[in-house]
Parts: sequence; structure tokens; C-alpha cells
Amino acid sequence: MSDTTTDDKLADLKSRYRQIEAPQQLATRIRASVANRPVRNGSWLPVTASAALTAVLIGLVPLLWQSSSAPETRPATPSLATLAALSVERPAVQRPRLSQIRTLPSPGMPAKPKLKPPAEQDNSTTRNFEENNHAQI
Amino acid sequence: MNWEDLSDADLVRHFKAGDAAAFDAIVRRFQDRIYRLAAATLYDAEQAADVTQEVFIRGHKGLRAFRFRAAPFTWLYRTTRLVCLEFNRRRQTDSLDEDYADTGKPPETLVDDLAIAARVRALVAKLPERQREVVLLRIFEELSVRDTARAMGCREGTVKALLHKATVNLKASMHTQGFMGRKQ
Repeated sequence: MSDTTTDDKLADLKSRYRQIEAPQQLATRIRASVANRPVRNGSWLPVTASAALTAVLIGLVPLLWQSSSAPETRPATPSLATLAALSVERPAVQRPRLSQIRTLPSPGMPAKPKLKPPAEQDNSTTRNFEENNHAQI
Repeated sequence: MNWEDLSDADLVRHFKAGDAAAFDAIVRRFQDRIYRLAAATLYDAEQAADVTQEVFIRGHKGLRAFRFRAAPFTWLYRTTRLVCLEFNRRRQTDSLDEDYADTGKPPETLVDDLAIAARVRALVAKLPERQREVVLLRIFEELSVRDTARAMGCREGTVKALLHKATVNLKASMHTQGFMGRKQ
């Protein structure tokens, strides 16, 4: 089967395919089924959302304005003359004397434990005897 | 108003503005394409009319929010593909004893149309999915490369590459199967 024959047959099939038409009553069926299904108009949703957002913003703006227009509590800057007239007054509290300051008594250290003499020192006699014997040998 | 002179986008604009007659014009303009694509995509081609109806029902709701980022047919084609998938999935789960859909066409005409659609479906069935879409849109529906790319959500270069591969595969398939183009 040559390419030309194949192309012809494909073109023939295509032309017959394109002659297929939808049933005549289909448009009527579609119109009827669409009429039975009312489309919910969802266009109110973005409008309502933006209106609610605007209302919230309008409500918030005066609050922001109030907080920003509160009386400022910046410290007053004194002049040099005022600063010079100032004198530092010492507090009237009597300072403690050194003699009044006592060190707190600390608890005494525990008694130093007495070490027992090691047991090896008890056989000093025996050891001396061995050494003496060794010397005799 | 002569609806036939308006572009696809203008039709949708009138529909969005609330003109009910514009929706009828949209149906008239696109129903044949949607019906053909559905018949060539569905395993059960008798349901093509039901798919077309469902696509336009969804379009009646969805096109109100259409933002014109793509062509209206792109939106309708993607909806068609989705609805076909749903119908094919439902066909696998439903029983096979269902009555045929009432299409309102003479039985012999219906059989003829569905036979052609079935042959198109059989021809592209062995192609990978993307190549199948390209063949249906670009070759059989004669969309431009640009519109095909928009409908498929890819670049024009991708469409050209897919089309080249699909054409080679189609011809090979027709050679091996001894495909006959005449009415059988």
C-alpha cells in the first residue's frame, strides 16, 4: 500500500467523519436541561467580600488615628540655667559605721578526725626480730 | 442580531452579559464538533449525545466565569475530554443492559455515523494518548496548530512533533492492518 493510497483513504475517512452531525433534537434537549438548572449568581460574593473589608477598614482607621493623636510624653529639655541651679541633695539616711558592721558567725569546722595508727606498726617487734636475724645470718 | 457573524469570543461575551440567545448560538456552533469528538473518544459511541449535552450544561455554568485566556473551544474540548473519561469510567462499572440513548436521529443514519466514528476510534486507538489527541484535533477537526496547542495545553512545537510521530504511526498501522477507507 503506497503512501498516496494511504493518504487518500485517510482523507476519505476524514471527510466522512466531518459529515457527522449532532442529532437535531440535541440543541432542544440542551436548552431544556439548562433551563431546568438555574444558575446561581455568584457575582454578589466578591462584591459583598470587598464591602465587608472596606467597612472593617473604615472602622479601624479612626482607632489608628486616635492612637497616633495621643498627647506626646516627650521629656522636656531643661535649659542650662535651670541645670546650674539644681543642687544634688544627699539622702537623709544615716550611713552605718564600720564598727556596726559585724561579720556573721560562721559555723565551726568539724573536728579533725584522728587517724588510727596503721596495723603494720603493731608488728614492729617482729619486724625488728627478722631484721636482727637477717643480720645474724 | 446575526450570531453567525460573531467570533467565538464575542458569543461568549454576549452570553456572559446575560443574553440567553447567545448560548443557543454557542450550542449550534460547537455541538457537531463536540458530538464527533465524543463519538470518536467514547467506548460506547451511543452516549455521544449525552456527553455533548453534559458538556453544554457545564458550559452554561462555566462559561459565565470564562476569562478569555484561551479560545472558548479550548474550554469546551477540555470539558469534553473530562466528561468522556467520566462516561468511560461509568461504563466499566454500570451493567451492560442499558437502553440506547435517545439521540433523535434515524437509526440508519445513527448507525452510519457511529460506524465512521468507531473506525476513527479504531484507527487512533493504538496511538499514545497525546498523539491520539493531535490526530483528532489537527487532522480530523482541522484545527490550526496554534488552536491544537491551546486545546492540549502544550507548545506549538510539541504539536508538530507529536503530529509527525502520529502520522508515521498511523500509516504504519494502516499498512499492517490493511485499513480500508471505503464504507464497509
